[in-house]
Amino acid sequence: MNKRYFWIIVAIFALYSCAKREYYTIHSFPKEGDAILLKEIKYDPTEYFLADISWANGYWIYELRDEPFFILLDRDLNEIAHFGRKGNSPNEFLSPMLSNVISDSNAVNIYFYDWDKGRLYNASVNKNNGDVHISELKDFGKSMRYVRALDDGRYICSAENNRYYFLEKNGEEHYLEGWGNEVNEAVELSSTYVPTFQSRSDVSPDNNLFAVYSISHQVLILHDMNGKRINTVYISKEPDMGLYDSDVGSFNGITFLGDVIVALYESVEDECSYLMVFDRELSPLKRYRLPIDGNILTGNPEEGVVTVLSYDDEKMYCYDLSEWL
Amino acid sequence: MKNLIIFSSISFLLCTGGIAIKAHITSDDFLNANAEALLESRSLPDITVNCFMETEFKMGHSFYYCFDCRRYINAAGIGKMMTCQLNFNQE
Repeated sequence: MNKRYFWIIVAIFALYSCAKREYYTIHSFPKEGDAILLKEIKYDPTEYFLADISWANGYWIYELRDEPFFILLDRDLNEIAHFGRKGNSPNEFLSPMLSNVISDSNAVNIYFYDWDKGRLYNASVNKNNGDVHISELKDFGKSMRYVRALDDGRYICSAENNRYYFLEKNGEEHYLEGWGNEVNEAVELSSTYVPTFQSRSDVSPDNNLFAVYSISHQVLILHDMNGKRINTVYISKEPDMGLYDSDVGSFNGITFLGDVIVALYESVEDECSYLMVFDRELSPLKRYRLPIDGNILTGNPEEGVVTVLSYDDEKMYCYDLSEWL
Repeated sequence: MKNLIIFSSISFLLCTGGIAIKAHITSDDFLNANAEALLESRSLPDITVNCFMETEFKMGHSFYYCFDCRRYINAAGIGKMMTCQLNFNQE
């Protein structure tokens, strides 16, 4: 009799452990190490008051905190073009944010959206003479935290309430898995609403993954391009979503290198920044402790180099992560 | 017969004049009521929002700054959270 109860309990535990969990919490990484610093690049904030940096298709894109909002540079940091006037007129911008960069033989196409205006634009920069042609691609009719045009005609969007959804070609909106839970329209549609959970996101270069990293909490979420949630991970412990800012940590960037995902994590607990390496299902692989406070991350997937920008140091630090290529 | 025609004409003129004056008064009333409604709608109630006294630059973040109770983009509030009154009438 006792034996029967024992096996029933074992079966219940087995079923429980087999059930798909909505998230898992990472308490430690299988490997720890120090990243190899390749070089430091000092920048002059009076020349470039940097907000964000991106490496894409062999070019650097600087996003500045004031006009001109965008600078396109070659791989040796020689300026090719700058654009983005501040204002409310056509082809002027209030809060432009980089969305995507595509390069062809003649031009670098920089896709960006204006958060306040809720519009997506393309700046086509002539590679030979640096001429810039800006065109408006879509007006979403409301302010947008994130917009990304996909190859199949859809958009991934996040409006002021920070819930990610696909905007289909026929205009229908479909939440990505998990983002449509417990929507309180009465609260979230208010023009004054500021979500406690705030995030940024990126699409992998092969267009197969969509990663969301929280800039307010220790949360990383991975989707496939059908919106299915592949995984959700918390660092150290489950976050308190009622707080505007986590007392544990938050992410400052993500980049895709080879078959791994590299995230820049700012730990409040450890008072330092980490580069965290995950596989394509968000299983932890390795963590590198950085001797700097990192604010922005971008990666060069061709060479296996990641660059971390530190506002305090007014420097960009390039680290060798080619072991993951 | 002549008197009947004159009486009818005067009555017609008085009636059409009265209708016109009444319509004018009604129209004015209608406009006034609309104007009052518009004025009332401008007096939206104050809304309380969570705000912070200190801030740091952070891409993709937004928050309300207690000093002017306005929302800022690409910045995060730090330190103690407070509340402020968002007064639409002042904007």
